[in-house]
Amino acid sequence: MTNITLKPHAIFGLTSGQLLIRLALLVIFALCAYPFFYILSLAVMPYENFISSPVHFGPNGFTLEYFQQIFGSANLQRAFTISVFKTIMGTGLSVVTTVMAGWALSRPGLKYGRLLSALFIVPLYVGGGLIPYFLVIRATGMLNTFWALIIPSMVWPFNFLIARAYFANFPQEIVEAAKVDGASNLMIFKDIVWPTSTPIIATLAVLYGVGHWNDYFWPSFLVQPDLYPITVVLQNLISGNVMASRLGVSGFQSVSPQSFIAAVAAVLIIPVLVAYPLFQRYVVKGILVGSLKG
Amino acid sequence: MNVAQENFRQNQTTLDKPKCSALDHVRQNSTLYLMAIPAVLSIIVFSYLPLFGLSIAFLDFSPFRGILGSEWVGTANFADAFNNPFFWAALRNSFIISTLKLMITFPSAVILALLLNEVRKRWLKVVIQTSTMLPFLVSWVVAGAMFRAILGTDGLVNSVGTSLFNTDPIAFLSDPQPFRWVLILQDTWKYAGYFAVLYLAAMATIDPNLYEAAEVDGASRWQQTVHVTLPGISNTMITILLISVGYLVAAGFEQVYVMYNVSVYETADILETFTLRLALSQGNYGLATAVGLVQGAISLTLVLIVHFTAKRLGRGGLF
Repeated sequence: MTNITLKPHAIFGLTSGQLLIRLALLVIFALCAYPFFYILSLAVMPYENFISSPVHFGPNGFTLEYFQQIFGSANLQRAFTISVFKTIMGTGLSVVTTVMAGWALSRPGLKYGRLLSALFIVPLYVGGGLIPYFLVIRATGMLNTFWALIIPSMVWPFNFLIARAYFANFPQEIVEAAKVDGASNLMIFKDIVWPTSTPIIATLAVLYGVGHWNDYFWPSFLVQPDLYPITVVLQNLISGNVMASRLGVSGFQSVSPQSFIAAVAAVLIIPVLVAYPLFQRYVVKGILVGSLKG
Repeated sequence: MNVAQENFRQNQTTLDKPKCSALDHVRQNSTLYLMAIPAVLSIIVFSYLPLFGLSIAFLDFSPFRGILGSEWVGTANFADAFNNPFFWAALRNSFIISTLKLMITFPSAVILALLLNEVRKRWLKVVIQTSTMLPFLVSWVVAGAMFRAILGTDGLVNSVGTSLFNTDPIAFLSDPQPFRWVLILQDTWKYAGYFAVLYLAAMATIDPNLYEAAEVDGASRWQQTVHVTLPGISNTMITILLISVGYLVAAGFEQVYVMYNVSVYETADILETFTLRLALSQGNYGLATAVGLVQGAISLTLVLIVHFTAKRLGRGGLF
């Protein structure tokens, strides 16, 4: 009886307040995660089962047929490969250029460091808009080349500012000591700064990697269909603008669109699901560095 | 964001002795300047050069004649835009959608963070936080595919409704009224987990003594939340709110572009999608750029108003 006065309405050892909180979080968890579960279910469920019964909450049967179709199609295979290359090369290039600039422009003695850094603030708020941006890229001659997928968005101003803020706190004594030992600026960066900067490198890799992998709008305008990443292919499949002929998927008409679309979406989701737990602490840290650092 | 920017302001106070010339300085630090060149160059080319392209707004622009060869028409494109009812509809939709998104996503993120903060079991917190971050990590195209599968006319919700409850299907994605709410709630779904991380970080910096003192005074968990936690994250909340105001005419182009269709233009056509259609289907680049410029100007005005108001209120500006 005394216990009840201490913990009113205790159920499973939880107070009613705690119980309500758990319930609310359970609902939030379901709302966030269920769409992922559902689309993955559609991707592995045979289409016959999908149409035979009106309601499905999870997979009814199991097949990898749609994934086989995706990787049996030369064009979807190529789109996937382009996405992978765009993500790996684009992320590598972006991280290296951003880290180099963030380091260099945060050096205390650099006279024009602040001026050059200020260049990165204006684009956070002001842009030229769709058409001028397109015309500039066209003028560089990158249109319809692989470079159009990775060069124009190479450095995000926000990511540069994160990197710069991070390196501004790099202990200057270490740099000075290395200089006394005769190390050049290049050696300091290559042998001291880069190897010890895993947190910011991982953070930037995640931010850029997710950006490159998920990018769909500009690629659909900057390159021809033979260079489309898989996001654009998915978007075209969805928007009903099914490019059956262009994709050249044999017997595409007989493919069940709903299951097939779900499988293409799954191809985009699964790498994120696999990679995210590995990078989670860096993702969270990256968000924090961006907001609180400095 | 603004803190990161402020940071470099503070860190650039110690300069080399000013006696050496600019050229000597660059020569001595050539490695550092060379390291910065790729990033600086890419920003100049892809962020600043397009600003010059804004002059297209004053031209009867033809891609074949180029900027220099096209005829100067002064403010005719702006007059065209202001006389176009679809421009005003797009402007209104942009404001309505982004305002409602702010009104719902912003408090949702705070509530999510407060709820997560009450969970003491670490694994439970990690599982739920991970699930709320997932939507942030996928492409809008993927998010669109999910929402179509669930909310489409033959999607999960409608099939449950029609076959189990005998209700009429709801056209969530092609009826202008529900569609607006789909956009807003989808935004909450995608971003609440991301912003909750910011608030959780702010909560982690609250002095634990404050909670102990509150407990000694007999404050319940709820009272502690209201009187300790919320004031502790108010600075973060205000900063995010201020930054958001600058983006009130940007209603989420990538999302709308994936989700919308002709039947929902009435409530979902925003400035960017309108601009894109002007350019793509009508080839009217001058008018399209003029609309983009008007949008940029509104955005810039909002940023400056927020910046100077915040400064006057002694909060430090945005940049």
